[in-house]
Amino acid sequence: MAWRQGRFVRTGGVLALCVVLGALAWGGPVGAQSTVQSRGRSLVIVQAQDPQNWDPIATFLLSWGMVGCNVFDGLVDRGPDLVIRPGLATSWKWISNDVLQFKLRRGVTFHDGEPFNADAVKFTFDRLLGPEGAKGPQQGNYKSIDHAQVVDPYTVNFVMKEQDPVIITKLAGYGGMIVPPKYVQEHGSAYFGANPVGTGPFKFVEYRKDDHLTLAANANYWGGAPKLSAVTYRIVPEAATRVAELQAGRADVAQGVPVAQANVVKNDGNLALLTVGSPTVTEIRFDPSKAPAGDVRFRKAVIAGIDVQTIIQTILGGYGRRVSTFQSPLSFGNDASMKPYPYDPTQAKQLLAEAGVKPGTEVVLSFPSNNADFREAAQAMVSYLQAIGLKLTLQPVEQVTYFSDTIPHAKTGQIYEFGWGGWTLDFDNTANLLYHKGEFWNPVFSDADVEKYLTQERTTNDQKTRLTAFLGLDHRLYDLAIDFPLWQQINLWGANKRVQGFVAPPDDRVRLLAVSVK
Amino acid sequence: MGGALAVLAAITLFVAFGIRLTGDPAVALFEGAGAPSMQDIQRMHRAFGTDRPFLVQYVGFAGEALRGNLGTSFRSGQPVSGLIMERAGPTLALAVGGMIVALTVAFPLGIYAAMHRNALADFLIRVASLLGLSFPNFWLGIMLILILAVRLRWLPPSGYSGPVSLVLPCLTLGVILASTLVRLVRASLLDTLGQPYIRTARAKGMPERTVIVRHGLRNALLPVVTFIGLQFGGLLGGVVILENVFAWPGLGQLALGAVSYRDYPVVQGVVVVLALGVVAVNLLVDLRYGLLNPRVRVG
Amino acid sequence: MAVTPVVAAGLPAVARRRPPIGLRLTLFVGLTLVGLSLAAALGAPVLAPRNPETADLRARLTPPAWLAPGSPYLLGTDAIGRDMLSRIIYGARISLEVGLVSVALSSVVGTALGLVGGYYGGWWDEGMMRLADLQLSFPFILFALVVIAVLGPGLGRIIFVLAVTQWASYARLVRSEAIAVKEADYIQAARALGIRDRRIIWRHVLPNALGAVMVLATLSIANNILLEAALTFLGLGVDPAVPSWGGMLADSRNYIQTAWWDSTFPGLAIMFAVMGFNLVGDWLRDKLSPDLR
Repeated sequence: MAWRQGRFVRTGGVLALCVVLGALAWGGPVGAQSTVQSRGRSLVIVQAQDPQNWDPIATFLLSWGMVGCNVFDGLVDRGPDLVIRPGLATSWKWISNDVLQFKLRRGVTFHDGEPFNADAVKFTFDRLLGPEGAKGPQQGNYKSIDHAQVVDPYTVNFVMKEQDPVIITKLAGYGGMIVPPKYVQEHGSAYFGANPVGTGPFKFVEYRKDDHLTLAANANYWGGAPKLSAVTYRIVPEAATRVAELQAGRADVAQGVPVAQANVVKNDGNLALLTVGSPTVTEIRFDPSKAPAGDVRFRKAVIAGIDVQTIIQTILGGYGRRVSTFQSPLSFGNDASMKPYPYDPTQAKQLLAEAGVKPGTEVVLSFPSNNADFREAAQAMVSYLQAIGLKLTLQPVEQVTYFSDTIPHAKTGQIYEFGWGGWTLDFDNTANLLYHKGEFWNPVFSDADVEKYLTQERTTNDQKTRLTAFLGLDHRLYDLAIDFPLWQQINLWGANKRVQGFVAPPDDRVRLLAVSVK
Repeated sequence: MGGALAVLAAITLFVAFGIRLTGDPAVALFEGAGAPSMQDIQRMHRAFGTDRPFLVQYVGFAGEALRGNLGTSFRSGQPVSGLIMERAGPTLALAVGGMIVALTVAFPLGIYAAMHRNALADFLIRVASLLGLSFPNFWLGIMLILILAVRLRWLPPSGYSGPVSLVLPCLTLGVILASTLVRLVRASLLDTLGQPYIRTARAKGMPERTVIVRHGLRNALLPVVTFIGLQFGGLLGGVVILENVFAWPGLGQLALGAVSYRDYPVVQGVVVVLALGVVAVNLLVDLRYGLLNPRVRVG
Repeated sequence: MAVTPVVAAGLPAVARRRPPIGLRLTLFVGLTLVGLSLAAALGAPVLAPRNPETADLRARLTPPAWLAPGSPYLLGTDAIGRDMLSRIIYGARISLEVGLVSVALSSVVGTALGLVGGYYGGWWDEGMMRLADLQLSFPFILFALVVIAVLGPGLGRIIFVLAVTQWASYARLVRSEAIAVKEADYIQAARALGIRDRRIIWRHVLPNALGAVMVLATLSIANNILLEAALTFLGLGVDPAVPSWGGMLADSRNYIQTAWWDSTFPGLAIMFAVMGFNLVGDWLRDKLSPDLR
C-alpha cells in the first residue's frame, strides 16, 4: 500500500504549494494593519465602496469624491460649508452672455511635475466632452459647455452651448477635475484610471482593487503642505465590519456608520460620532396609473396614515429631518414655510371611505433592497397602514434592476421609494427629472401646471423669476400629493479621538489638508 | 473536450443573455446620483457596444474569448483577464485555507464517531457538528470578528494584509465546511464498513484499526472526495458573502461588484473562469475515483 | 449477520434488546425538535400571542421579559417593535417551506437521474453529467440574481432557484455510489443470475446510495434555510415584513452588539430545526443502511 501513502503525501504537497503560492501572491500594504500607536502621522479611512476607476470622468460614486478631492482640484471648489470658492482658478466672470472666463492660478504643478496651465484645462474638457468622456457618466452633466478656449497660458474661456444656471457649481463636480495632459496621453486612460495624478494635497502611491488605496502628502501643494504624512483608504463593504475596524483601533475614520450602530460608536471612549445633513432626500412616490393611487384622496390617506416623525425618531434614531417637498432645506427652490401633512389616522380612514377604498385592499410598496434604513421604515409602514385598513406588501428589488427597469418601465407597486441626492442644491435637476413628462424616471406622471412652472424656471437665468416658479411648483405638487416626501438623510461618521480637524462633509468629500492626528 | 466546450458555450450564453435582462450598465454608473437622460444612456451604450444586437455581441465575445481575450471592463476600463488574475490568489488562499481547517477537524471527529457509532460520543459529535450549520456564514463571520478581533484583539477584523489576516475568514469557512464533512466522513465510513469484503477482512481476523484504515477509509474516501470536488466548485462561487464581510479582495467581490454594476464583460469573464475551474476539478475527481478505488474504471 | 460494527468497535458482544444510547437520544431529541418546529408552523395563528407584523415603534428593541420586568413581550421585540416570539413562531412557516420543498424537489430529481446515469452509463449518463457540470459551475448567486431579477422576487421563485441549483449535487453523489455498487461482486453475481436491472437498482443500488442522500438532504434543509438568509443579506430576499428565520437573522446583523436577542432567538430557532431534521435523518439513515438489514 506504499503507493497510496505516496499519493497522500503528494496531495498534501499540492495543498502546501497552493498555500505558498497564495503567500507569494501577497501584496498587502504595510500601514493598513498597524495599530493606532504605530501608525504615526498616517491615517486609515474605511469606506464602503471602491469605484474601481479613479479617472474623474468615470463615476458618480460618492466614494470617488472621498479620495478624489484629495488628489485632484477643479477650477472652483465647494467646501463642506457648500460655499463656492476659488480652486485652480483665482477668479471668473461672464464676459458675454455665453462666454465664461477664468483666470488661472500660477506656479501649480501636477504630481508628476507637469505644469498646470490653460492647456491642461482645455485638454481636460476636450477629453470630458469627447469620445473618452462618452464612455463615462459625467459627460452629460457638462453638455451645456460647447468648448474651452485658451486665451493665454493662464486665461481660459468657456464657450456655452445653452443656458446653465448651475454651471459654476458643476465645475466643482467630479467631471470638472483637472487632469495632466502629458501623463494621460503617454499612459492612456486605463493606466490613468488605476494610477491617478492630479494637483491635489495628496499624491497617489498604490492601489489594490477592492482592498486599499494609499496616498502620500504632497509637500508642494499650492494651498500649503498637509499635516498628515500619508493616508490609506480601505474598502470594507460590510457596515458591521467597518465599525469593528474602528473599535479595534485599526481604522481612524469610518464612513457610513449605520444608525443601528450609532450608539456603539458613541459609547466607545476612544471614538467620536459625527453627523452631517446630506443633500439626499427620501420619499415615496405614487404611480397614478395603478388603482387606487390615481385618486388624490387615497394618496392623502396614505400620507396621513403614516407617522413619519415617529419613524425618524425611532428607526432613524433622530438622524433625519422631515421635509415637505422632495428637496433638502438647503436647496434653492425650497419653501421653508410649507409644512408636511400631519399624521392623522382618523382622517386617513375617512379619506379612504370617501374614495371607496375597501378595507383590506392590497397596496404594494417597491423599494431598492440595499437601503437598510428604508427597509426598516417600510416594515413599520406595514403596521401603520394595517391600522387604517390597508394591507401593505413590501417588494424589495435589486437596486440596478430597480433604477434601470422597475421604475422606467412602471413595474413598481402603487407606491415606491425614491431617494435622490440633489448635489447642485438647486431644485432644477430634481424637478425636471422627476416631474417632467417622459423623463427616464418619470414614465407616468404628467400635469399641465407642473410643466408650465418647469418651463418658466428653465428658460431664464434670473434667480428671482426662477424662485417664484419653484415656489409655484412646490405648492402645486403639494396639492396633488403625487409624492410623499419623507426625510432628509443625516449621514453618520465614526472617528478615532486621535484625529483632529476632521469635518464630516455633506457630500462625502473628506478633505484631509487640515486634518492631523495626535 | 467537446463536452466541456459545449458546457462553457451554454453557460456563457445563458449568463450573457440573462444579465442583460436584469438591468442597464449605463444607468448603474449613474448610481442614482447623476441624472441620466435618454441621450446619456444611448451615448454610453454606443461606447460600450451594447447598442448592437445580442447575438452580435455574444459572437464577438465568444470569438475573442477563444483567443484568450475576455474584453474590457465597462467600469474600470481595465482588461478583464487582468482583473481576474489579481483576484484569483486571495480567493484560492481562502478556499484552500478553509478546506484545510475543515479537513483537520472533520476527519478525526468523523472517524471517531463512526468507530463509536451510536454511543454517546457519536451523538455529541453529531450534535456539535450541526452548530456550524446553524448560522449563516455572514453571521458567524461577524460574530468571530466581534469576539476575536474587537473584544480580544487577537486578530485583525478584516482585510488582506499578511498571513494573520487569513485566520478569521478561513476559520469561518472551515467551521461551516467541517460540519458537513464530519457527517459525510462518518456516514460513508459506516457504509463501507457494512460491505461484504470488510466482513471478510474481519472474519480473516484482521485488526480493527487495519480494517478501518486500509479498507474502510480508502473506500469511504470516494464520496468524500466527490463532495470536496463539488464543494470546491461551489466554494469559489460561494465565498462571495465571506469576502464581503471580511473585505477580502477576491473573485467573489469582483463578481458581486460586476453583477451589481452590470459590468457585462467582467461577469462573463468570471463565469468562464469559474466554469473552467469547476470542469477541471470535476475531471480530477472523476480520475481520482480510479485511483482510490481500483475497481472503478474510467472510460 | 455474524459481526456487527458495534462489536467490531470494541464494545461487548452481548446481544442487546434496547438500541444504544446514542441512537435512542438521536430519535428522541430529533423527533422532539422536528415536532416543535412543525407544530409552530402549523399552529402559528393559535400559538402566537400577537400579530407578527404589528409594530409598536416606541417599544422597539425591548429586551426579553426576564430582563425588562413588566414587559408584555416574552422574548423582547425587534428593531421595528414587533413581538419576537410571534415572529419566530410564524417564521417557522416560511423557513420550513423553503427548506423542505426545495430539498424534496432537488433530491428526488437528482437521485433518480443519478441512479439511472450511474447504473446504465452511456450517452444519457454523459449528457446528464455535462448538464450537472453546467449547473455546478454556475455561481449560485448569479443564477439567483438573474432569475429573481427577471421573474421578480417571491418565495416560490426562491424555492425554485434553490431546487434547480441543487439537483446536480444529488445526481453526482448518487451516480458515484451507483458506479461503485454496480462493480461490486455481489451485483455482478446478481446480474449473472439474470435478475432484472430494475430490481437490482431498487433493491441494491438505491439502498446503498440512500444513506449518503439522506445525509445530504437533511443537511440541505438547514443549508437552504440559511441560503434564504444569504439572499436577504445580498438584497434578493422576499418581503421583510413577513417573518422568516433567515431574514430575521440577516436583518439583525447591525444589532448584534446592542440587542443580542434580536439575532439570538432566530439563530436558536434555526439551530433547533436544523438539529431536529438532521438527527431524524441520522436515525433514518441508520435504519436504511444495508449493513443493519
